[in-house]
Formats: sequence, structure tokens, C-alpha cells
Amino acid sequence: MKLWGLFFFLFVVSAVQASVDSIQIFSNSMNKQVKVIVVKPDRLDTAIKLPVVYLLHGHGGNQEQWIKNAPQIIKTANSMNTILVLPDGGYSSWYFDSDIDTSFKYETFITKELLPYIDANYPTLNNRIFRAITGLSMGGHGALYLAIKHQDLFASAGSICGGVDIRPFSKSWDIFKKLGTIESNPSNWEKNTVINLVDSLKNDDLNIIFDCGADDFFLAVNRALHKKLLTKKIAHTYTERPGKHNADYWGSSIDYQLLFFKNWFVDN
Amino acid sequence: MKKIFLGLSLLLISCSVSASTIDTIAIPSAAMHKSIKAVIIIPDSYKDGSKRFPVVYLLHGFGGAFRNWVTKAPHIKQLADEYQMIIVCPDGAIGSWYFDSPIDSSYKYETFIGTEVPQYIDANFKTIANRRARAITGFSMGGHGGIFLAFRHSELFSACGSMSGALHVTVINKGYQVEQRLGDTAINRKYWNDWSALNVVENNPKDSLGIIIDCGTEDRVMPMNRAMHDKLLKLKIPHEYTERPGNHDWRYWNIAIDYQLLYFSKHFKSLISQP
Repeated sequence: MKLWGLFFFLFVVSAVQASVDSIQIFSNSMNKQVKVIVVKPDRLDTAIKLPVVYLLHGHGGNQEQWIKNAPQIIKTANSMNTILVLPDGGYSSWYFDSDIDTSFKYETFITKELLPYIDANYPTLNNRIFRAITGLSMGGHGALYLAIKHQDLFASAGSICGGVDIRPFSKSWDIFKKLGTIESNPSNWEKNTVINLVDSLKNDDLNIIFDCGADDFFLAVNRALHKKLLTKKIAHTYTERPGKHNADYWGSSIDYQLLFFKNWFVDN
Repeated sequence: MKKIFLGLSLLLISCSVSASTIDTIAIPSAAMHKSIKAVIIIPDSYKDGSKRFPVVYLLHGFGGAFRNWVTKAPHIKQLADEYQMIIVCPDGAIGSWYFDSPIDSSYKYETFIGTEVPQYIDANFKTIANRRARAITGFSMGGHGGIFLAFRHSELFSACGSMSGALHVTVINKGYQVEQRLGDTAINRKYWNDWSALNVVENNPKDSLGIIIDCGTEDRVMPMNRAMHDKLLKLKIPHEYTERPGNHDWRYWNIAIDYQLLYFSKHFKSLISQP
């Protein structure tokens, strides 16, 4: 046991930089390759199983957005001893399986194709308790959307300046190309907006954190979600901080969310 | 598998175990003609050389004392190492409210913590003796103190915080010694208004402070915190504001302190790197 401890001591002392894999995963449902970045703690030992945090990008972004806007997460992966998975979620997929444009099946991709691949190919703790998902903007919507619908897969979920109610933005960012227009398909919007999905949540179903900038156009919908969760007595952490809808904001906010997930992993 | 991760985490913690050192010091107060105790936590690399460190002043609540933080939230020792900062926990008496009492000259805690303590710490430890590297926060009465002192002494502090802060002394009932510090007369009522943190932010508006305020959703002081958030928004004073599950207890403060120190660490990094 002493040697074991020494081994880990050396491991920790020498681990200064995590490593980054750029991979492609074939999506059967979409019949195409999807790019994914995996950030893993340095000197990964396959005998030690680790938690995983999935980080979703925003509208117009791709798998590189998180690394570009928050390069410090590579170090954080090391210090929290956790694997980070950054998938390409499409330019404007909104992480839906679209019944309007069937070439978009990103809910299926992330939950049924990406997750099993990561668990099969990396030393993960293959358990919802040690799997978290968060994202920025479109990805904040996506993370809460997927976690609420797939609680068997995720115990923790976050959103950073997320579009947690998409209905006020029915003409923006091609959401209507995935759900149909709000005029012709109102029920599609009602059942796919996060603020309605929480109707099915019970307290402690999910470990939830979300935040928004005080000058962000998504502030009102985030406040509305906070208020709704308080009314429903669903425990959650909610933060408003200075900032707009930009890389400075989410590049800093992610530090607090990763701390939140780390504390959860350690406590469990 | 869970056990394996837990085991690894424990090893990680035990490997980094506390290289930081803790001392109890007595800080002379000229204003109060006595010495007052404080806990100081010094990060591991302090002894290595000439490196200087930022300082977070951490205040206790009503009925507490200088040892509270390090005994009830001992992991702040690891955080001092992780963030490479000095943490100072001064004694604020059972119920000083961190005021200079206008009716009792034996209570000069605004002068003590807002002037004498930072001077003493800078003179005796390798600090970065600059407001950019000084922050002050605390819980409950100490949350009030963090905001009150930073807004009134922003030449010394560049950041402040409050956890579950009793941020509006005007509405605090008897039993918490506010009346013994400020005087329970109609004339002295002005202090209750002027020195309430909720009013101090308006009377001494600052946009040069980093501010982080949080409160538990089950806490009875939540309305004061929501009022502070609303007021700061109205005054356009940038600040971080968090509501999270929890009550007015050490379980909550053990969580909140992690985020406050992360915030101060980022704040120091952003300011110290400036010319």
C-alpha cells in the first residue's frame, strides 16, 4: 500500500499537462463521422476508472469551441482527475433528433452512440453518478434537455448562459428548421423547451447548476427557470454574474461548474 | 469502481496534505488597547523563497470566534495551497458586527480589521501589500462585515464577499447585540440605517470592487440577500450572486467557501497580472 501511495504521489507531482485526443466517431443514426475531442488526465492508467464531464458547444460552434474559449480546462481535467468529452454537436442542431430534418439526430448520437463509445474506449466510471453534462448557450439548453430526458445516463447537469426556454426565440438560430415553425408546430416547441421539461422533474432527480450573465439576452429565461425550480422546490444552484453572451463569460463560468461537478464526484 | 475513484481522491488529498501551516497570532490594536487573536494559514510554498502572496481575510459570524473557520471548515488549509494565498481569520468578538461602536469605545472592530489587521499582516508576512491582492469575506455577521468593510475601505480591498450574510442590520431583532453596538435610541437609529451593508453599497458606491454574494435557499436571511442583489443590479454595481440549496449552517459554508476562494483566486490573477 505504501508503494501504491508513492506511485500516486509521483503521478500527481509529475502530472502537469493533460493530453488531448481528437477522434472521429461514426454515427449510425446519421450515417456520418462526427468529430470529438477527449481531454484526459495525463498518464491515464486504465486500471483507475474516472468520472466524465460532457461539454456541449453553442450555436455556430464545434468540438473545438471549449478548448479555444477555455483553454484552462485541460489543466482542470488533470486537477479534478476527470475525462472531458467535447463532441461536435452540429452548427445548429440544438441537440435534437429532428423529425423535420431527419439528418439531425444529435440526441441519439450523444446518448446512444457517443456515450457507449467513450465508456468502451476510455477508463470511465460507467455510472450516471460519475457522468455530468453541461454546455454554453445552445449547449446549455442541450445539456439540461438531454440530462432531464436521460436521467439513467446523467446524475449532474449544468447550463452556462443557456437557451433554457427556446420559445421566445422562435425565429432565431435555425431552431425552427429542427422543430418546424412555432406557428405550424406549437406542440413541438412546448415539449422540447427545457423550462417545460422540468415539469417532470422531482427534487434530487438531478444535481443541477446553471448561470447567466447580467447583460445576456438569455437572462430573462434563466431567471424564469430559477423561479420555476424554486416554486417546485427542486434543489439547484443558480448564479448571475457580470457579463454578456460571449467567450469571456463562459470561459470563466466553466471553472465554477467544473468545481461543482468535482465536489459532487468526490462526495459520492 | 466507486471505491477506486474514492480511493484515488483520498490519495490525492493525502498526498497534498497540508503542507500549509497554521498559526495563531496576536495582533495589537492601538484603537482598542489590547491584542486580539487571529488564525493565519500560510501556503506550502511560502517558506521557499521571496515569493509574496495575496491575502483573503475571512470573518466569522455572530457568537463565533477566530478559530471557527479552521475548525469547522478545515479544508480551507488545502485551498490556501491550491490557490497559493494567505488566509487570515481575525477575531471579531461575539457580536462586534465589525463596527466602531459610537457608544462603546472598547469596540473598534472597523478600525481593527479595516486598518490595523492588514497593516500588521503586511508588516509581518510576505504579502503582496496592495489592494489588488486583498479580499475580505465571511458568513452571516461576517458577510455583513465583508461588504461593510470593503465598501468603506476600498483603498485596502479590491474584492469582497458575503456568505449567508445578515446584510441589513436595520431589520435585525434584539438578541444579536446590534443595539449594544449602535445604541438603541432614536438618535442612534441613523447608524442602523447608515451602516447597514444594504445602505452602505448605496452611500459609498463602488465599481472598483469584485463582489461575490451567496445564500442558501432555506436560509432565513435570504430576503436580505435578494434585496442586496436587486439593489446592486439597480445601482449597476457588477457582482456575482448565487442561490444554492442550503441553510444557515456549516454544511452550507463548507460549500460556499470553495466558490468564494475560486472567485478571489481568479480575481487576484486578473488584477495582479495587470501593469
